[in-house]
Amino acid sequence: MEIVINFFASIDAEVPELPSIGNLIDKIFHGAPWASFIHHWSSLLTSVFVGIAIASLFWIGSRSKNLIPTGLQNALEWFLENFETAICDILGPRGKKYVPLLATLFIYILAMNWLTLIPLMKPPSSNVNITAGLAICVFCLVQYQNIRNYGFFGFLYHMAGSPKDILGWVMSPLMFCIELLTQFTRPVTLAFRLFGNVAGEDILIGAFALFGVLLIQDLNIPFGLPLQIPFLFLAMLTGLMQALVFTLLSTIYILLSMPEEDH
Amino acid sequence: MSKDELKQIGVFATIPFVMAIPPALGWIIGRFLDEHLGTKPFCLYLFIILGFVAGLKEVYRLIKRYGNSD
Repeated sequence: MEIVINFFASIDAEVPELPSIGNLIDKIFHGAPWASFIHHWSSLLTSVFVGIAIASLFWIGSRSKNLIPTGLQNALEWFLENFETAICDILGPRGKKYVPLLATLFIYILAMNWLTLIPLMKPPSSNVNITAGLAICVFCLVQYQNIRNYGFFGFLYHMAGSPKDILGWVMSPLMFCIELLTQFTRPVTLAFRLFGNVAGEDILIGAFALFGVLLIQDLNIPFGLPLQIPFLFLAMLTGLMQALVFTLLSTIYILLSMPEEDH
Repeated sequence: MSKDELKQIGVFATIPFVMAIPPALGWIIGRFLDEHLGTKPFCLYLFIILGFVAGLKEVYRLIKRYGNSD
């Protein structure tokens, strides 16, 4: 285990990173306790900022409830209607009650991923603690749904592969172990995939920005070639894709926690 | 590209993670059990294999849900 930790520690020292507000504050006010606090908790503070920004946007959009919507209200209603249709396609009519959670997850992750497009902002989803928090929320909801729908012992029976004959009962301990592993793998997969993709994209953009600066450093001009711009478009695409995949997989996990006749 | 194809690409792009993480998790659990039960190295091997099976089962579920039905 020590080898793995040392490996990641050695990578961390060499990762090209774009300047962000947290880093700059720490560099300018180095040593001040508040500056190191902001630097240390920058991902969490940025994610709270994103949450407040999204909540404000939706509050402004839903303030005027016109029968014929225009402007921001129209855009938000269009998005929510389409999203609700997509979720209900997968979960059926009972999926309507999960739309608020899943839509929040989608918009929140998308906004966090796209934060990389704003200069001096570091996407919070490139920190594994943030993505793990989101994945744990989904995991807890799915387990709660499982126990509510099947009952505690019914859920254990379901985990053991719902054995009906003697062969089924013989195989049930093995099936139980496999299913237990599957259940615990899901949040880990969700968290690491989102973190890995966004962090990788962030490092790629950082590397090309650094390359653009190094390429013309002999000219002594205070800026570099914007070589990272094509990768910002790629970041937009992967950011959207990752938000979509996180939401879709959460939807599938909720679907699998419903009784068999529902899916 | 239709919405369904976009969903398929998104979900199927997750398959490498779904295949890789269960054996890794099995390795951690197996090592932990081996250290505490003194069964070195049987739990490690058992849980890595179980991890592979769990990964395959999850991939099967994803393909069953999002593969083309026709």
